[in-house]
Amino acid sequence: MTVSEPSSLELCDVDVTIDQQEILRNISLSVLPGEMFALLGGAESGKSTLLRAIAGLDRLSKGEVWIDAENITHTAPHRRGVPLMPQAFPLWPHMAVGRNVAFGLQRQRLSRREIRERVTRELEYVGLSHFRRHLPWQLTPSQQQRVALARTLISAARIDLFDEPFSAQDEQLREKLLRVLKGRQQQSALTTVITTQDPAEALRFADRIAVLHEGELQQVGTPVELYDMPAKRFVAGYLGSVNLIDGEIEYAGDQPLFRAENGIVIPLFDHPVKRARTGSAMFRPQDLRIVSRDAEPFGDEIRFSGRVERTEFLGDSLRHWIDLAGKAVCLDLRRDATWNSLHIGDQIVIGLDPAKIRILER
Amino acid sequence: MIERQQMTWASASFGLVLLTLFIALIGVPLSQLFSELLPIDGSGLDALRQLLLQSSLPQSSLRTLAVALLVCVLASAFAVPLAMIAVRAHVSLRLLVPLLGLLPLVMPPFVTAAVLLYFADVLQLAGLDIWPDEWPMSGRLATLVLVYALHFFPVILFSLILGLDRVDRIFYESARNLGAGRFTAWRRVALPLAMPPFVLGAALVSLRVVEDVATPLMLDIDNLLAPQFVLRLAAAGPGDPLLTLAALVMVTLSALIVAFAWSALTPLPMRRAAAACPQPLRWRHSTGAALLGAPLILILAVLSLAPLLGLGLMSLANHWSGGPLPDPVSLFDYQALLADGLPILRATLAYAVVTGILLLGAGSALGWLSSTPGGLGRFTRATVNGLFAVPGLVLAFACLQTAGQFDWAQGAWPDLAWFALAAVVAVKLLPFAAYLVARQRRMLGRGGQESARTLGIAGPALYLRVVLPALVGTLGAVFLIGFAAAAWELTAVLVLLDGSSSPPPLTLSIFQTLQTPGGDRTGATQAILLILALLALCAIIYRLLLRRHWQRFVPATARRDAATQAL
Repeated sequence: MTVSEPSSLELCDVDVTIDQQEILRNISLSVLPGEMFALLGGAESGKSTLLRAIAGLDRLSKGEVWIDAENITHTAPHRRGVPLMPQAFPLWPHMAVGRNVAFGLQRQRLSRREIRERVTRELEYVGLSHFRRHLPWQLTPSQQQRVALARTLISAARIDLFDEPFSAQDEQLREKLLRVLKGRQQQSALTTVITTQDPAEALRFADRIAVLHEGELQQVGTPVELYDMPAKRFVAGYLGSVNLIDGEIEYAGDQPLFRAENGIVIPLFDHPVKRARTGSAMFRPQDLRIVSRDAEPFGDEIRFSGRVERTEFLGDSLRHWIDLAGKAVCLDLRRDATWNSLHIGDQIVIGLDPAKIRILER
Repeated sequence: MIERQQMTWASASFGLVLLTLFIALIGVPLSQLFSELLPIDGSGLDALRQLLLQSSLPQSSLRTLAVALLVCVLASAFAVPLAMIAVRAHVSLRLLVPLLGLLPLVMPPFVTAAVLLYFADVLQLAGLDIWPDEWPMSGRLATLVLVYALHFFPVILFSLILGLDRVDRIFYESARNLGAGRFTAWRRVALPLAMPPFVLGAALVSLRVVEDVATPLMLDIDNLLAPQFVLRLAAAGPGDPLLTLAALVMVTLSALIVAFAWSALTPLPMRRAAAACPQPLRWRHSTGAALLGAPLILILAVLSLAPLLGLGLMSLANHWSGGPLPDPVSLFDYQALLADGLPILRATLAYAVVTGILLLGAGSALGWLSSTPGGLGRFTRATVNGLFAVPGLVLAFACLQTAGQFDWAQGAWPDLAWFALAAVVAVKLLPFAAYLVARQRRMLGRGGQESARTLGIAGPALYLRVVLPALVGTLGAVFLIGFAAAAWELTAVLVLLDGSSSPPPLTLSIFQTLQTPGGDRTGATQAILLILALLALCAIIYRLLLRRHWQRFVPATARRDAATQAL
């Protein structure tokens, strides 16, 4: 349905200050043509401001915004061709659904017939073709969101922006709507930027993710890169449960070793280690496994002894908190025949593949 | 969502009795008045039509509507840019707009007209006939439109501010984001959304214009509906059937205006879609608004202050030869009025207090009824809002007619007329009073009362300790509205008190004195004193009730935010 070619977006060293408050600092990133790009971060991380800056609704105090080879930093919002679906999905209450959806097309000087056809098609796509003449307040919130989605998608824009588009919806409906959006994005190869606070949502639906925290860009990468190789403690923790053990890096000859504060020593094989004296060893709960005391080590597997402190039921798995010489780490066991064989107070041995360990700066 | 109050059977029965009584009190005089026009057979209807066509009522009705329309247009021309500044300019400028906008409302338009006439005379302008005779709105009608616009533009200004303020910035930004330019986004999104309060403001202005008598008479205009009515009443007495017909025409005109406003107010929930966005996004300060703001504020200050300054100078001038200030300045009239005018002041004060109390009682009762759920609440709201369609002039005339049918009422009329006057003024203000009380009561909500019950407060104590304190500020405001409106009411006074009342109410005295040759200074002095008295009363009520109420129920931060956002 999109008539234009997908565009690329580039932000160069962007700062945004609103009412003397610095909201964004030094944001530089690129969005490739046709990809779904997620801006991930907590509340007040600057995600929405960044989208508004791209749409031209908030002015940059520094930096540039490029779409394809065109610098749009000083272009008026209505000339940028980047429709934004705000978090508040503001449908105009005095316009019927059809007129709301058609609004962007009417600015493109299309014929009435073409506008009507495209509106019908778009409303059919979001399953609301029977509601064309309804006023927004006659619809349920989820229907209103679908109208807002149709209004954004219909514009055949260069880039579509979605600011936490379905955050007000329940889990099931949000997933359904996200699938609709993802399907449309893949079908039309739309360049799409979406913000979300939910890491699972970003990991599932985005091609690449940028993590924002307190107005600063933390890391950009594919979901796998960010999950497995986070560059910062914030990224590691935000994207999922993580074990972080603080310590120092030492060298035994050429062999780097990580000496944790609780005395555990972890050899770092083939691991890119910066020459920092302090750091944190990071590994995910599912990277740990329980081994029997007399079993042969598997490859370079490191082994620790610990005591089960408590357990938590997570639905599809069970999380055990293990005391490793005074430092609690968590271990996730999937639900199989032995999943509930551990009890509080049990002494166990756990194994960890050193390749799964990542040393992060503190 | 605010919960509506639950109602017991006892309360509902009491409410029903109250409402029936109220409808009877208003409905009986009105039905008696219009029953004279009911055709008993076919010839009655023909006679009515002949009477209408032979009179000048159709022309004066059209002229009245045209004046009302032009007033709305001109007042909107003043109000729209100022409303934009009030919504978008920097805080210091925004605060000035409503403050200055309130000033014209502290005195009635006929005083503004008198000031304009006086200065036209001082500056030797040609009698204010600023419009060529061959144009449709000839003679002083254009001046009348100007006076009304100067007086009433704050009503439209505040309505527009209210309208624009409830339009989320995000609605406008979405339109811009989807390709609409500034003007298109304003025209297609912001303006339609701001329209309902604006239409309501324009309707209120039109209703006031339709029934105002004093301002056209001050400008020697007698070809509008209301002045014609009063002049005919004075000449032919209340028994003239043409007066009843004119009353019917005025009610029809008012009903048309109300119906038009009602159609614009068709429920259009302004629900902001996002639960995630609890507060509407306010408009950002714009450099353009700030740059335009200062000169426009200056114009507003001139528009608002000029009549008041002019009135002040009038009250001090013995003689004026056209210089920037009157030649000798005298405080003689102030001394004379304070010495000799005490009976007038006392009578005015008493009648205004009675009006305030009547409004307080009836407004509280109807406000309580209209905030109740179900048919009773809806019917009360419809009845109370229906009062907009009955001009005060017609109500006063109906009272006069009804009193004429009872011997005892005729005997006691001089005293009864004061009470009827207070009742008419109070009835005209009932829609506002009932709305304020109902709104405040809904804000307290069922939850507030249930919380008190869970804490052990019930029965009369609940009303004394929870409900009444929550309403006290609103009740104070209602009394103040009644008092101030009564102090400046003239239309009903001209119908009910026919100039023979001794002492006359101050507003009648002002009107008559200003019309007397050489009475400018005395009339202006009386007007100034009344303005000062009203301002003092406002200050006292604010200190005693409103400020205390404000501080008690609203936390300081919310007060600050509300003050900033409301402007």
